[in-house]
Amino acid sequence: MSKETELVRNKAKELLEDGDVELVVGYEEGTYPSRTTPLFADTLEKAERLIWNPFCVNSLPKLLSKGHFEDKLAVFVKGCDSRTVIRLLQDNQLDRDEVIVLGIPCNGNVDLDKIKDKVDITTIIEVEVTNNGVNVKTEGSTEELSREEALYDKCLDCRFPNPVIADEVIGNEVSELPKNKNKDDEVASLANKSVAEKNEFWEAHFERCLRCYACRNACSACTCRDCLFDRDERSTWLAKGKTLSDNEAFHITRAFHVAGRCVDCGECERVCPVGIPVQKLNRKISLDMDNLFGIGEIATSEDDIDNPPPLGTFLTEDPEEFM
Amino acid sequence: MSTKAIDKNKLSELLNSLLFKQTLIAPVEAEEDILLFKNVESADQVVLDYQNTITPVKDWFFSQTEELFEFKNKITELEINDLPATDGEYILFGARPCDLKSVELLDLVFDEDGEFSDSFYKEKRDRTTIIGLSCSEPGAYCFCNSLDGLSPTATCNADIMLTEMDGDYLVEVLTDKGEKLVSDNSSYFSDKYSEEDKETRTEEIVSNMKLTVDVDDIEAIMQKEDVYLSDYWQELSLKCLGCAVCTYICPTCHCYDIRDYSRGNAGIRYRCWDSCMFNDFTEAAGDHNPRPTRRERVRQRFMHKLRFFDERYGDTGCVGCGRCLEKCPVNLDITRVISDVKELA
Amino acid sequence: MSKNPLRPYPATITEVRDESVGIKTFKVVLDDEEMMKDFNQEPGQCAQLSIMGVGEAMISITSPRTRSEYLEFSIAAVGKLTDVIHELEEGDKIALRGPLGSSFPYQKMQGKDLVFIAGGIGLAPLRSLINFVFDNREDYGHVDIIYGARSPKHLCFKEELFETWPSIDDVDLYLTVDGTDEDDNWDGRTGYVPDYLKDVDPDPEGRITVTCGPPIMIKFVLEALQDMGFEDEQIITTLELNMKCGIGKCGRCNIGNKYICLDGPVFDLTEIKELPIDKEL
Repeated sequence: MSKETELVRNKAKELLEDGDVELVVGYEEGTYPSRTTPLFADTLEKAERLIWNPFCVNSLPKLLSKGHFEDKLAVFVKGCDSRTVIRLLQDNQLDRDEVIVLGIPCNGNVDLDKIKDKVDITTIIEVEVTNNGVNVKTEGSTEELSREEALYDKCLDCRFPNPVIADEVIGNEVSELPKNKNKDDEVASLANKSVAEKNEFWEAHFERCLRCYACRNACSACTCRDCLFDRDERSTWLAKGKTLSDNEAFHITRAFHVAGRCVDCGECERVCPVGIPVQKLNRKISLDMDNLFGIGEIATSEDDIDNPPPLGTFLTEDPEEFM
Repeated sequence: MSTKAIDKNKLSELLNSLLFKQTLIAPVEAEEDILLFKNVESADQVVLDYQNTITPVKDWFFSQTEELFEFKNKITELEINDLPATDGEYILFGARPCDLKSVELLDLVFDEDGEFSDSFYKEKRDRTTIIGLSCSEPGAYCFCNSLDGLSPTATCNADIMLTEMDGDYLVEVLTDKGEKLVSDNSSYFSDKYSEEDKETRTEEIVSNMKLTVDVDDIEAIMQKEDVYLSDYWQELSLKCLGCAVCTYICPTCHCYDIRDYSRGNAGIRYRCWDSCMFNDFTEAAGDHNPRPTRRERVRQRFMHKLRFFDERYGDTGCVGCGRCLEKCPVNLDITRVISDVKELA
Repeated sequence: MSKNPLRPYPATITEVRDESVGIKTFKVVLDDEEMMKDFNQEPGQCAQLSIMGVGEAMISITSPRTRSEYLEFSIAAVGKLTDVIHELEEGDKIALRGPLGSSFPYQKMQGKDLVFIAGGIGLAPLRSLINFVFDNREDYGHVDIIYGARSPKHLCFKEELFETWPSIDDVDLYLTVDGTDEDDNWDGRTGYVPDYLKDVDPDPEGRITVTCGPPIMIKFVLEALQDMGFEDEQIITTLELNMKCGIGKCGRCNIGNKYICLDGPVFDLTEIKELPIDKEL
């Protein structure tokens, strides 16, 4: 058992035993030790199944935003997930008094799709992520991989390895992570291409979209109980059929709807079954929002909870160049 | 019917020669690591060593969006016309055993003998010769071998089945359609292998499978009332995001919606995939919804796969392709559900 | 290519009647005469009605096949499609496919006494069977019709209720309304259908009951019938769910191993009790 797993289990058991919470939301082993799945532990027995390792990638706070939890609960968050907590608090999707936020600093999550050609993912026993690289220990051997080879792209220029909101932090704070990649440069270089080139780029991706709405359902900014893409009578202007133009309309509309609310967690891109670089589109709009409204990175501290998204408020000095 | 062999380099020659007369649908890499069945223009595009495509072959027979007919309407005039029927001949190359089996199951739904046989599905089925491709290296999430009549080399309803050997493929010619393709192109094939060679190879491949699940009695267990009413479904549904990944990439899911595209006085009615995971799927007028929460929707999906489909059509609705557990954003794993449900009973 | 099972055919509306509050009855004739002649629906079956560009809905055919020159549909305006249908007038076009779904077991009912229990627009599907029975009067025994609606204005098929049916031999009609307005001029019974059923108290011996109406009414009627001693096979009702394809493939009306659009809408209580449902109907 890893040190983090032990800490996570002990914390959960303590909270449940003391009656501080009714439910602890964390991760357990999924199909394999290297594949995790969310666990809703409401008993000490279940708390014994909790784990913590670099495969704990899902954003758990999003699972709490459905409004059907009445009891007080605790949730484990990484730095990126903690921004989702702020985001959901902004939208009144969570009740601050009813959630104990347990922060765990993170060095980066391992992307099984990236490493599956190099190691047998079914035999992974343990993984260690450091600033210098990723050591993957399997039943037979230990593989030393670079961060670029093993981590999710979204983790390669992570700016928030430590939780920005937490009632308690478990584990040691992570000092600055190496910048193995610059996502914003990639977005800028795509934005600088010609209209025809950009069109070609996005059409090739959107053409594959299955309209499964995993990106929407995993999104920290998509908190509408009834979405405009559901129900016959509301979506007559966006056909449910899969055509390139309807797929484009879906992605562009969604990107605009999350403008100023996207916390750049990258869940949209991670969950996409057909590899559409959704985060690039959202990031472009976040950067534009910063240019227009000077908002910088949103949801980076508790102060932001009462700081509503710019498109949800009006200030006289707002730019109005489209009017 | 007969067992033959084809050299690896001859296979791509054969595919190129078939391309002259027929449309070839085969696995291609649409984007890094994203394999999809698509129309191919040259055999070079065809990927042979893939583990599983993202979307299953149902996408060919039961397209995500299918136009049903066209119409012209004014208030007192109405014209409805069928669209021109498919007239091509098709070869579906490279379907894995799980997907082959799924076509057998979809036949039960769409190509039944009754008056409501689906003409769109049936037309494509009749016009398509299926060349299956055994798995040489089953994927981490594959569990086909746990299901009745399935294995990484099962031929199911393929017309021709290829199994990779050392330097060539063992070819099983299984139907009249397959026989015709092989006899029309006999120069590509040689006699080398026997049924025993296939059995030996199958044992070798099966020994590489990682994931297994015991499905014995699962239908009977799912029929128990306390399983249906169990709190388990509520607990399971807590982690479900309610997206449609599992159903859209499932080779046997067949739910669809029917919609109209119309501009002015003319338009097209089409159908498109729909998902029991969506909250509006069963919502009726007046906001009445028989499956109001994710508990009912998640339960419906597993009940349908493991019980209802079997009750209605006599076969399990899961083919062990592993797509849903791999691609589910929260790894909601059907093999885990099967073992959990067995513990409930 | 084999017949496209999802394609409807043009038809013309030949008559529109205001049936009750928010409900209109449309008389529809398929434009293809042969097709109309061969339509041959069984009592209780449905058809898919379409307005191109708007959508399609599964609607019960309220006329019996013994009156084969037309089809009648009684439709409440409750959504986008039915709102548009309500705008249609005589001579306008509509598209239609069918017949679809299961029918009432009218053969099994021969020689039996019958009780029809309906509420509101729930009389529409029963009307096809009631008129079928009356068109073959000698094949069936005594007929009781227990029918209620929210108010006198909400009663459907008033001409049949007050004139046609009471004049037929061996028929008893029991009408009730939940409540009245001052201008209603109603001197009949006030109260709910299940209570009236209990008062009528039909003898289960040699009888078959057919029930259709709002879910809450069906729930109490089924309870009452079982209390009176009716066996599950003697209790027939209809289930309604959101449907799309009408041919048992698109999946949305799936309950257990049944598709309501194909295996239903008509079921007897034995079949309903076999369906996996969270709580009792």
